[in-house]
Amino acid sequence: MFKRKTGNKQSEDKDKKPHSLNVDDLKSELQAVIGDCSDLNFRTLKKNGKKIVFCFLSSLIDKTSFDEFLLLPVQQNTQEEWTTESLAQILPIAEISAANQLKEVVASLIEGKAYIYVDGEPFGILANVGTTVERSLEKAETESLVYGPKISFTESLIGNLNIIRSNLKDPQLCMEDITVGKRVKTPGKLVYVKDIADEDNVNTFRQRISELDYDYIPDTTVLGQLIEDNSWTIFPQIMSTELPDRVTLSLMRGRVAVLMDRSPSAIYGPTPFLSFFESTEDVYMRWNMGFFLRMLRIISIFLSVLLTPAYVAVLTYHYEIIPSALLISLGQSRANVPFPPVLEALLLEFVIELLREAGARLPTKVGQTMGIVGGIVIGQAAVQAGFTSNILIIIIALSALGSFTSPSYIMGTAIRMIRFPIIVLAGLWGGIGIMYSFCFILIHLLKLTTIGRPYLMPVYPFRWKDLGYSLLKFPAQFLSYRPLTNRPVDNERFPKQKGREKKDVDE
Amino acid sequence: MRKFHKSNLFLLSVCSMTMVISAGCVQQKPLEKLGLITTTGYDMEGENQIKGTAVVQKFDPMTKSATKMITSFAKTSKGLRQQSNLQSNQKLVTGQLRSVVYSRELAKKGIIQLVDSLNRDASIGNMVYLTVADKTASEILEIETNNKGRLNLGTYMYNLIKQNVEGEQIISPTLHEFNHNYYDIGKDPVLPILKVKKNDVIIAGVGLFKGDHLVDELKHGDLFYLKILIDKYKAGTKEMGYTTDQLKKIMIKNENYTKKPIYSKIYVSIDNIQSRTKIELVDKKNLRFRVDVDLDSRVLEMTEALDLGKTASVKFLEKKLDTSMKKRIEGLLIRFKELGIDPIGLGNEYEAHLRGKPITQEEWDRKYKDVTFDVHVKNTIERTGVVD
Repeated sequence: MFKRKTGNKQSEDKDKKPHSLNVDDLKSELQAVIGDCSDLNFRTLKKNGKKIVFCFLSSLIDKTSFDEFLLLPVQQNTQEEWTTESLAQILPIAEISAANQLKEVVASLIEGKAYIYVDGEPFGILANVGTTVERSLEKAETESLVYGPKISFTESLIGNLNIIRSNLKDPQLCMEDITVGKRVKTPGKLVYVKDIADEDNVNTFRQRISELDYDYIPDTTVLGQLIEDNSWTIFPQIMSTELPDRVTLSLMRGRVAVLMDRSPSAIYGPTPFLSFFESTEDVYMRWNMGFFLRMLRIISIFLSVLLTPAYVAVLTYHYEIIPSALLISLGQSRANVPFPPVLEALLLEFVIELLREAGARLPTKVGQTMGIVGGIVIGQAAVQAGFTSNILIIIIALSALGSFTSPSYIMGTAIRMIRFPIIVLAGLWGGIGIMYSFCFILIHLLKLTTIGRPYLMPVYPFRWKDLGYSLLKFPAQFLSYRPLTNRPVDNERFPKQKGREKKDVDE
Repeated sequence: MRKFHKSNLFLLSVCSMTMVISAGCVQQKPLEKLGLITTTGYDMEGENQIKGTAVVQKFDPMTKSATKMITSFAKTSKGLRQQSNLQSNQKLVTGQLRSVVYSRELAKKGIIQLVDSLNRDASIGNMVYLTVADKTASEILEIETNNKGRLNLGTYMYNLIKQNVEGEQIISPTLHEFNHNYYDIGKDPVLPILKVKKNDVIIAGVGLFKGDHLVDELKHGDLFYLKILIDKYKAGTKEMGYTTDQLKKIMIKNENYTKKPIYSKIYVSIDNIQSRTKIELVDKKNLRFRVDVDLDSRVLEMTEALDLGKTASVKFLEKKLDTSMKKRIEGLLIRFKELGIDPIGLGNEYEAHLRGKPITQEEWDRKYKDVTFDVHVKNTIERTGVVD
């Protein structure tokens, strides 16, 4: 919708004009452009009738470094003449550049740089004395882990890049500059390992982000939504994570990541459907445990989607298939309930969603108690009052739990949402309705793509070797190749033969 | 991003509208509004009329016991359902039917028209158990009312039969197996016979059918041999009786051993029986069948001390078992032949040796009279318990 529109190139040439070479005129020019910014400050010094002006946004610069590294050297410098050249020599600042374009100066001021201009000179100096407010590194909140590194991304792009660089000391690790957004230009980075990541994947990301014509993109999750292949679907096609190790693992498997300033999460792709059920813990755990956990997650997702609709379908249409051991307890608990099974199930699912949402909005400590207490009270009372059957409570709780096992919160939410139409269809058509909706979802998943790659990748098109990475988990010695799904350039992780070898003690 | 075409939207809305609108045509069967017939019984009632008795499982939050017995009269089983519906506040359905009882009188006349109605009803599973009542079916189903609905006869009878089938006591009497044996030429069905004992229902024996009508019945002792011939044992149990003279040779004559005989005969109980039976047509012209029975077992109990420590005496006991089993099996085969019934499926075996035209029931009935048998039984006692 947005990325297809290309920018208007002619207007850029018109904007190329130097600012006024007079200090007072420069001041008024800057005032005119960002004049309503109350924090645009000027500091003017005079020597031998020559004026020198420091322009900065006081909210963005570091006061002490401004005083110490800009003002102090200039004031103490009594011998030399004030020229741009000589000032550049004496300023003890690493990031310095020359500029005379008004537009560039304004953009730099907004980024937190200070502009130093000596009256009459053709160029001024842009010096970076900016500072940003940052929080310290913390444990991951939304993707909590038992095993593995606990560190999570913060809002600082530089900090995040630092973490990735120090995680992945590979000379081939590429960090390409990329600006995100048209009106508000947020700096971002396109991260990939040059001789692993497929060129096409990198190009797709680069092209989609650079062609994005959008005023303001607050977060990478929003960016992810904007560059997705299909924005109508409920299924997320680009993974967003706050775990640096998750990103580095993906990079080494040939995926491409995008980081943005002021965003505490990175996005990466291509991420097929099954990769949303992979946790980094599967990698850190022993392979058989990882295998079990992965299977557990996939089974629980199936249960989560199909259990409640199955209950509705069986109790409304297919009483024949109830096992005799369950028949009486099911029938007795249902006999109390005045609603048809569809309404009963929808009502309880609604209550569970309500609890989850309320729990998420409340402060952490209150939220937890409210979740538990609310669950028990509503569950107990609803059965006592004959509102729902107690078997449905178990089923709903099970499917809610199942949906939370997905390591990706977005995918968990998607799973929880597609349950509602299936329940309605199960109530309308019974087993046929479930089958209909299940087929619909399957066809839909087959049609989806992630960064131009099939969404159901290792399963369809079938890649036997990749199953060890996604659906199953193979022991490390059998994973000598990188997943074909990402089309890595360098396919080999280690020599295949070496993985199978068993070294004797004597050798 | 995929464009959403107007024609797609139209198609989608048409599809979903049809789904929603035509959903009204589907008949709902909410569990709590149904009366589930869990077991039914059929009796003859005078001329041209059957009496149907049904145990109905109901779900009522007010009362604890939620079964009800409904009796009605009609000509057909579907007619019975119509009549029964008039006596129930919930819609009667047969999807949870677990077992069916036919009275002895009905079974003697033939039950295929009633079994056929079960076959035609899609909601009835193939794993429904068919049984024959020792007297009348209503007598058995009345146990439910005698127990004030606490027994839950439908599941009780189902479990009674299922447990005994799994314990290798009787041959599985499902609707599926009845159909198979009935429609297969050269094989006849067998169904268990149920009997009322005080306020309980028990399995009294097995009814032998000729086609769809009851001809004879086997009591407990012969059931073992019938199952050996029809099926196989994986872990069966059997007790055999012998006179003291027969086993004198291997009895322990130790003075110190003060075990006094309680019975006048000696009984040996063997268990963990694994049987394999091979029935082979050895002479097609003279219709001679060779029946090979192999049994592996373990002696678990004997009423008098036998010297089973010696290999020779174990062999002796094996021989004894062979001869007595052979006698019973031969007796059973001859009895079947005289009655003209074929529960073992000799006709099937015969037909397997025919080329070309399949045999008809009449042809086989005629030929069955001339069949001769050659029975070989081989017992192997593998263990004699943990005492020695």
